[in-house]
Amino acid sequence: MNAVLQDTEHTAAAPLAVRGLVHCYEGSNVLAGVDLALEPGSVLGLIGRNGAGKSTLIRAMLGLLEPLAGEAFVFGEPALKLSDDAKARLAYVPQQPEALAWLTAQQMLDYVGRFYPRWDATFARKTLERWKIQPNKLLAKLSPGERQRVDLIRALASQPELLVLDEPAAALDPVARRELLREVALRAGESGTTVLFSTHIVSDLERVASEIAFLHEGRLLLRCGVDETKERYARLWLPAKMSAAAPAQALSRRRHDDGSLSLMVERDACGQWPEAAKLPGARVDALGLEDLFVEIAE
Amino acid sequence: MDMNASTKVRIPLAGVLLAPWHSSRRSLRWLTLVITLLCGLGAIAFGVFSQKAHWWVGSTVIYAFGIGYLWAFWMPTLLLLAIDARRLRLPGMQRAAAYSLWLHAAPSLLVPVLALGACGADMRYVAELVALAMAGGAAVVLLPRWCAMVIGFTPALSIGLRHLAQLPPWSDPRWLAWGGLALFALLAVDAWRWRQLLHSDSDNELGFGSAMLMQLRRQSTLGHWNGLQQLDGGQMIRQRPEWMQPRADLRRIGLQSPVRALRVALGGWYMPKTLSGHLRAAAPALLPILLYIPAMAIMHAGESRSRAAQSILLSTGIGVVGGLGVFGGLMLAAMAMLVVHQRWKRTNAELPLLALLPGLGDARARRHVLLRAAFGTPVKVQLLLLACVLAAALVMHLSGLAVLLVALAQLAAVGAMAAQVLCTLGGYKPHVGVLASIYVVLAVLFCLSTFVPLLSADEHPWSGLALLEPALLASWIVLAAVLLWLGRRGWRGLLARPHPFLAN
Repeated sequence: MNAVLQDTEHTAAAPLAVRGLVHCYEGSNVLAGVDLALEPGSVLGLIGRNGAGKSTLIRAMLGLLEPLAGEAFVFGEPALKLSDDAKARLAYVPQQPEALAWLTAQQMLDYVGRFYPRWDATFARKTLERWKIQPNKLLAKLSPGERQRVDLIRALASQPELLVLDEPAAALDPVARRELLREVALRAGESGTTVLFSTHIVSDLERVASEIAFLHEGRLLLRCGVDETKERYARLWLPAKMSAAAPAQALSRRRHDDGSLSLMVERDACGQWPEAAKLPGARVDALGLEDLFVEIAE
Repeated sequence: MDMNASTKVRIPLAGVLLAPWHSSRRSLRWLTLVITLLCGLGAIAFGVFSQKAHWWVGSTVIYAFGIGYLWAFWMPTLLLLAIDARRLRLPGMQRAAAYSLWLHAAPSLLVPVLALGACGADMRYVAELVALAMAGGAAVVLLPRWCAMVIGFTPALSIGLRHLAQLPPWSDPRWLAWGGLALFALLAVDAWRWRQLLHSDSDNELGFGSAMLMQLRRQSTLGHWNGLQQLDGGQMIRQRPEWMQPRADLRRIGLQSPVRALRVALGGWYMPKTLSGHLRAAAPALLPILLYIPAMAIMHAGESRSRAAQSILLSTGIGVVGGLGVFGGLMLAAMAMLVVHQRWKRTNAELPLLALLPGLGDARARRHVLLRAAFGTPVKVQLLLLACVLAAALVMHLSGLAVLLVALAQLAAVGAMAAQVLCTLGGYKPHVGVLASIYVVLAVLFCLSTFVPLLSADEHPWSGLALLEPALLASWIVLAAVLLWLGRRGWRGLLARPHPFLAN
C-alpha cells in the first residue's frame, strides 16, 4: 500500500509523468501502454525510429491530444486541464513548427512574450542577432531551419522549468545543432531545467542527455542513464546448436542464415548476464548507443 | 542535358492515349467528360431540330463551348505531367505528354469538321471556330491569372469599343481571315507558355503571375468541391508579393485583451491589421473593382455625357453593393470557415501554442474567448453588409417578402459559418455527403434568394414569383433547421472537449 502511495506521490511531483498511455490512429496502435516520469532537472532523450510514436507520446504528455486510455500529468496537474501557472512554467517546440506564419520573427516573439511572466526579451533579441535571423522577415518566408530556431528562442525566452522539444535538431545545420545542444545543457546544468527531447540522432543524446528512453512500436523498451547503457546492455550471440538455450527475456532477437542467434540482453538485478552467456561458443559484445539502437530497432 | 533525347525509351501507344486520364484527378475528369458530352449531344440536338438555314453555326458554337472547356481544364494537365517528368528526369514521359496532346487534338478538331461538313456545313468556319475554342481554352489556363481577369472584361471592352472598331460579322468573308489571325496568335501564345512553364523551376503556384493550370495541381475548386481547404496559409503568404502582405497590428494585445490576441493567432482575415495592412489584404478584391469602373466607363463611352455619368454611377453602385454585400458576405463566411478549419487541422502550428499559452484561463474561459474571437468580427461585418444590402433593396422598392429573402440569404451565410465553425471547434466531422448536400442546397437557395427579388423590381414582374417566393421561404426554414442541428452537434462536441485547442 505504501509503495503504491509513494509511486503516486512521486508521479504527482514529477515535472512530467504518464501512466498507461494508449492511443491509436486509424486502427493501428501508436502508443501501447506507456509509463514514463521525468525527474526534476533531468535531460531525457526519447529515441525511436520514424513512426515509433515519439511525437504522439509528447503531445499526449502535454495534453495536446486526448489519449484513448491512460493519464498524463504536468507538474502534478492533469495535462488536459493545465492551469495558467503550470503553462507558464513549461515550453514546447513541435517538430517543424509552423505557427503564426503571418507574423515577423520579432512580432511573434513580442506577441508570445506578453503572456509569459518571466519572459526574457533581451535574450530573445540577442539570440535572434546571434543566430543571424532577420527580425522583420515574415516567419512564412524563413527557411525551415530558421523557423525552428525562432521557435527555440520563443521556448527558451520564457525561461521554462520544463522544456519539451520534439526533434529539435531535425532541420538544423551542424553548427546550429551544436549551439542548441549547448544551450539545452546550459539550462539543465545552471537553471535546473527539466528537458525532454525526442530525436533519432544518437550523437545528440550522447552529448546532452542524462537518460534515454527507447520507444519502439508504441512501447517503452528501455529506460536508463546514458552512461549505463554500455554496462547494462549487450548483444549475446549464440551458435546454432546452442540457440535452443536462448533466454526467454530479450529486448530483440534475430536469427541469422546459419542458424545462429543474436539477442539484446540486459544484466539482471545482481549485475549478471543471462545464463546462456556462459555456454561454450556464446559471445557477449558490448555495444555503443548507436549499435544498441540499431539492434533493437531492426 | 535533356535526358529524353539521350535515352531511347519506347512509348506505348496506350500510354500516350491514356496520358490525360492519368494526369488529372478523377472528379475533374468526370466533370469535364460530362460537360463535353452534354455539349456534343446539345450540338447534335440543335442540328436535328433547328429549322434555320445556318443551323450548323449553332451546333458548332455549342460543341466549341464543350471542347473549349475540355482544352482549358483537362488537356493542359498533360503539361503538369510533362513538368513532373522533366523535374524527376523520368525518361520518355515528357515526350508522351507532347504526343498525347497532338493525338487528342486531331480528333477534337477533325470529328466535328467532318461530321458537320458531311451534313452541309462550311468546313472552314467549323474548323476555325473549333480550333479557336481549343486554343483559347488552353490559353486561359496557361496565361498568368491576371490575364484571365482582363479576359473577363473583354465583352465589356468589345461593347465599349464598338464605336471605334467593329469585328466583322459571322457572315462576312473577312471573318475567316480575322479568325485565322487570332488562331495563329493564340497558338503562338500557347506554345510559348507551354515551353516557358515546362522549363520554369519556380514553385509559384498561387501568385497573380502564375498560370491557372498550376493550381490544378492541388485540389482546386474545379477538381474538388473542398479544394480550398487544401491551401496552406504559409504557402499563400510566401507566394504573395511583398506589397500585398497584410501586416498585423499588435497594439493592445496581451493578457488584458485575450480576444484580440486570439484573433492574431487565428490569422487570415481575423487578424487585427494596421490601415495599410487592411489595404494590402484587400488588394486582391479591390483590384477587380478598380478595373470594373473604367470598364463600365468604356462601355458607356459612346452615350451622351450626362447619361453616361449617371449610368456609370448607377451600375457601379449596384455592382459594388450587390457584389460586396451579397457575395462578399458569402465569401467572408466561407473564409472564416476555411481559416478555422485550417488552424484546427495542423498539429504543429497555432494549436499547441494556444493550448499551452498562459493567461487564457481555464477550459471554460478559453472556450468563451475563442468563440468571441471566432464569431465576433465575422458577425459584425456580416451585419454591416446586411444593412447595406437592405438599404439597396429598399432603394430598389422591393416587396417585403423579397427583402426578407435577400436578408435570409445573408443570414444563412452567417448561420452556415457558425454551424461549420462550431463543428470544427468541437471536432465533429459530418459525413462528406451530408455537408455537400447542405452546401449545394445553400448555394442554390442563396442564388435564387438573391436574384429572384430583382425580378419583382421589374416593371412587369414575373407571374411565377407569387409561388416561388413562399416556396423559397419554406426552403430557408428547412435549411435553418438543418444548420441548427449541425451547429448543436458541434457545440456539444466543443463542450465535451477538455479544452478547445485539440487538433482534428
